[in-house]
Amino acid sequence: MDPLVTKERSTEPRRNAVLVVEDDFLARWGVSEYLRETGFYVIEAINASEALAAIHADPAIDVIFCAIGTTTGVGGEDFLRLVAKERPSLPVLIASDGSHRDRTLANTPRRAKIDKPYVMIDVEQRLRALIAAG
Amino acid sequence: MTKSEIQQCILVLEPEILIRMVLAQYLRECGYTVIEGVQAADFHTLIDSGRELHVVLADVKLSGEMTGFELSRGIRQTHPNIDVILTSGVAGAVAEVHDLCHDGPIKKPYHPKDVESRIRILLERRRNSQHSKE
Repeated sequence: MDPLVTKERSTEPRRNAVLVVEDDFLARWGVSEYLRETGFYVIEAINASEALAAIHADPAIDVIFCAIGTTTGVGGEDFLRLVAKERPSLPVLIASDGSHRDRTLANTPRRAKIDKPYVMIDVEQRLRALIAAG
Repeated sequence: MTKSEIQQCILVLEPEILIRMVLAQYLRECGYTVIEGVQAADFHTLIDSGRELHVVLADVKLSGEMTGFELSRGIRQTHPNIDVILTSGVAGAVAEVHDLCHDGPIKKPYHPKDVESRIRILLERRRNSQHSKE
């Protein structure tokens, strides 16, 4: 094998691919742009069905940031159930509105929650921690 | 790509995630700043936020009430400094799009490379017309 190619591969940083699931345009843009600037590879989904399509299309996703409502809105809870079924080892950071339901959902292995409104740097650090734990 | 082109900001409005994620990523790798949306309202939200925008790449079929045609007409009237490129998977749309941009639509399926060349031509044309005004 070409030693240069081998070297390049071995020093290549981890892709740190995050799937951001957020239905609000401004919020999705803000967090996605921040994460790209800090070195993440970001895939943006506006709802659960888009997120599932992205997971099927790109199996190399390292972590999910799920900011769609788990108690209200566009089926965040169903989405988390499907992710747990299809990719049980895929870590998920849930942006929580502080409800009891969110605490229960986050209280499983490979999951964590972050309270809304979240601070970007906290999201970044929590995502890195979830990836590193994997 | 020259330095002045690196800061060009493109809004990609495409309701189909598998198309949007591939195209957006390709354009980012070309050096553009890419913001992803799915509906005409996302354009207005972005403009209201004060973000400088250079090109809107919109499918003729968008989520929400407004079509890509309507959005394109609106942008030409209210933001003549922003270039619009329409894409279409609908055969009958070609004639109508011709009416909106004399280069015609980009027909799906397209290669992201073709979209990038169209963007580059438009930006170049705009730069030339600005130079001639100066």
